[in-house]
Amino acid sequence: MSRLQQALLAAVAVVLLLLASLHFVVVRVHEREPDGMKIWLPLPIELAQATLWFVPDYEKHFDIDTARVERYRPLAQVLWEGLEDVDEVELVRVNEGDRTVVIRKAGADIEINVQTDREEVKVRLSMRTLQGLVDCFDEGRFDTAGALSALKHSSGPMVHVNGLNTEVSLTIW
Amino acid sequence: MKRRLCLHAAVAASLCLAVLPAAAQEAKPWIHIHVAEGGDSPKNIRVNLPLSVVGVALEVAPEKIVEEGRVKMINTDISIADVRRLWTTLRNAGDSEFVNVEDDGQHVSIVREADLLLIKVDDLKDGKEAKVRVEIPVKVVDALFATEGEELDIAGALDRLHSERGDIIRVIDGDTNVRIWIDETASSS
Repeated sequence: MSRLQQALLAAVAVVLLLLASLHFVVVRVHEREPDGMKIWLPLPIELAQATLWFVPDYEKHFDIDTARVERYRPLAQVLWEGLEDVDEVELVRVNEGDRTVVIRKAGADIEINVQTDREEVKVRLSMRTLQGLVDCFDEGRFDTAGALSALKHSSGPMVHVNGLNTEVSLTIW
Repeated sequence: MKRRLCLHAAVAASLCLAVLPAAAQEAKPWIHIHVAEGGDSPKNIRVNLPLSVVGVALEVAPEKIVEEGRVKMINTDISIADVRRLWTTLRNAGDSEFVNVEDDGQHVSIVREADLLLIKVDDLKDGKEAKVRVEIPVKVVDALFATEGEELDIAGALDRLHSERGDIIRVIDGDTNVRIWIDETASSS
């Protein structure tokens, strides 16, 4: 093997290792129609974070009304603590007509499932991600960089919306 | 013999160590709420939460409703101050029936049995059966009325509920069933 080939192989290995160490949010949109849209878009979280280095500080934080989220932060904190020792529990189940809403803790994750005759929405986030996201609401601002970091504490399917004609999913790799 | 004793002690100690953390974990009280509505649009709601969450929920509730864990009862026909005075008099009377009213198919009774205050309402008006059963520990009622004026100390009452287990409220009203209870298990099945 020539030196050039060795260098190329090493470069490929480095790129593969680099890719393997990255976290991706994979967006998938699938319209179930003959000419329907099909999107599969992997977005590296680290790349988004790196992009934020070049964004002025005032642009990284959204000025929004965070008072409501901040108010309920102690409640979230007590809820996390109360659920720490419990491996699996159904916290809320509402059956009403054709709609079922279930919020449950499964291992280290919180799952929210909403099911109707027309649509099914599943959200699964790790408790650490949820805690991180709640902490991003601070003093009337939303911390984008913090939210991206929080996402890295989850893995696997995060959001899955299955409608009559469209399927949308967000997965963290 | 001594060796055998040591062995038994070691087994007992390890059993205690194995059981103690589990017991400590189980000691956390959970509040369960189950609402089932029948009729044309049936509804079924189940909520299971650590009881500690309810206390904090009160703290973060809008101040219009709760202030420092106390609920101000305004625009009600009942005077909380009057009920408090009545309670102070009755609670010292021991086990007795405080109220027993039968009127036009309706039966209301409020009884104190040992450490429990039992409120029973049976309504058979218009052929529709409604039953309300409320079981409140006396010390919870004490804590509820520990404030002054037209206020109820919900936070104090919740504090006392931490040591209670079992049904708190049961309501059977026609097609609607409500049950609120406290135990040490996370699931409500």
